[in-house]
Amino acid sequence: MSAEFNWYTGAAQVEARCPTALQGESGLQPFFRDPNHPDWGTVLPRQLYHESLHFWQLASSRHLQLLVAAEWERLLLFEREGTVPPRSGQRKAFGRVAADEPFSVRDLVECLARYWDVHTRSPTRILREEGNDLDGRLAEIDAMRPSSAYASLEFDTVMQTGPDCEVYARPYHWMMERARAAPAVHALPGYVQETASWSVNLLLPVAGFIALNTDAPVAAFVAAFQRGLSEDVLCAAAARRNPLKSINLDWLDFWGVLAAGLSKTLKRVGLPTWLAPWVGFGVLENEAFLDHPVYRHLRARMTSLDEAICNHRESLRIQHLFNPPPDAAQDIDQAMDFRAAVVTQSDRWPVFSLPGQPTFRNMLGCMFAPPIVRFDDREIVATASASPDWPWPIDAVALAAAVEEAEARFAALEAAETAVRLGLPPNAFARVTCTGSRWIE
Amino acid sequence: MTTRQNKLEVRLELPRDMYEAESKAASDEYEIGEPQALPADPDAMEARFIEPVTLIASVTLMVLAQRLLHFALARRGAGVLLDARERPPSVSVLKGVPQGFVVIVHPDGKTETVRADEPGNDLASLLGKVLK
Repeated sequence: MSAEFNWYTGAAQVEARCPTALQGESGLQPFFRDPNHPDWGTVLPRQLYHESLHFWQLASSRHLQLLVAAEWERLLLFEREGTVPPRSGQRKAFGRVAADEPFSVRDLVECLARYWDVHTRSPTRILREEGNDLDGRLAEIDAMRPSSAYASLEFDTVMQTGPDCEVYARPYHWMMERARAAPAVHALPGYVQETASWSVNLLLPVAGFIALNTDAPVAAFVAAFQRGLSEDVLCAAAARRNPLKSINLDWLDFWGVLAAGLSKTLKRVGLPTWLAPWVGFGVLENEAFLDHPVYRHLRARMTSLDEAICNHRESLRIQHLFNPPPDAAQDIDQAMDFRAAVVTQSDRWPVFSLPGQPTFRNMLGCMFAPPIVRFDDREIVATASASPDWPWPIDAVALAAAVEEAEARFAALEAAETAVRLGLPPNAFARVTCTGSRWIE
Repeated sequence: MTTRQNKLEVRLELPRDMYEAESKAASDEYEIGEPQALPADPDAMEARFIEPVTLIASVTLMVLAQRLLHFALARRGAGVLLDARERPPSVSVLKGVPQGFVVIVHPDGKTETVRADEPGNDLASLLGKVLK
């Protein structure tokens, strides 16, 4: 089996054995606290984080939720009537590049997940693990490297190369090309390649996130990114950068203004976002979706996340009320934590939009661990990873059974769809059902 | 005794890791050509770190039947499809056939399914009729 996240059932699969330290009562919490701990090895961290990111994308993207809800309604119709209904327009369009667009929705989704898994693993570490010395330039970068920072060349290289890069890299290539040609990037001090890279890294997480909350994610992303590349946006952001020039602090400092500004741009071009604190839970209240064995619990998880954010903010407020942390290299973790509290004051979406922030990654790991993660040798159900203060509304046995039920039902639909495509009756493969990753009679 | 004349050509479509495992099963009765990368499936929901490849294999009926059963029973969540409408016939483990099934599309488009784990299935003689 390969690493994957099943959007319809919430099951994640990684190609690695489960480390001993993750087999305890706190589930995946140790991983999300310290995703690069040597105990996890070199294969597990990126795969587990990447597949978890897909679940977080689903939990925070109305476009993806509507796609899954449409497939769920299609499944219910198949079960009621025994015929295979056609796939929804969103499902058909997901992996296809529209004639007037530079990449598909799937490319954008994968690019964002790769973006965060590369950032979190660190391109410096990935290049070393892959034995890539950037034709000797890695030694030069090492000589100038501030502690624990990575260079734009390292990040851009990892984002645009490697297996499956045709899928992951397409949006990143496209952005880098646009950024290198943008007058605003040329107006910024420094090398064009580096300022282009900074611009892309500043805009991608916000533009990608809001685009996945519109009817037309790729068109919205293109419009938002082009707006972000203008002089009034980039020059203002560059002038107000934190003294450490940390991209993490940039994301937190500019998320609010960028998300609001780019959303306004999209509204003007007829692509309004569904993103607003007052929208509530939207599709999570969809009647059909609330029947889903696994995703019916997402709303409760979102409520728990809101409580956890409030709790975290309150503890930081007390800690830093009269003593905000300085922007100093030795205090950067506190500076990030403080900003994370500020940026989540008005809504929860920065947590999902910036899952590479350690505070947010930790929260999502506790509240939104994938419902089930299958390793080569065992599986971990999300109830184990949840903080005791905010447990899942059902226990591990019931959640595992819910995932298996969803898998069996979607597998039956897929088998019927394949049978029909091959000219067989829909029930040609009906004698088998799927449980977990196994087909049985 | 199997001779070179008994072999037929089929096009295999496999994930690259499966091709690498198949290379180890190569023999005089199962010659495997050079793989070429296939584009990503636009219908897939995730890139999945899978690199699909295609290649031409020259294989005897008996070995082909063995490999089809092996593909169908391998625990990858997918069965195997042999499409004899194409020339050369194609064998695919990338499509959505449930694990445990061998689906055969005859040259005239008629389809037939074989349970790979059913005792006594005579896949080799069926293939002989379909690929004659």
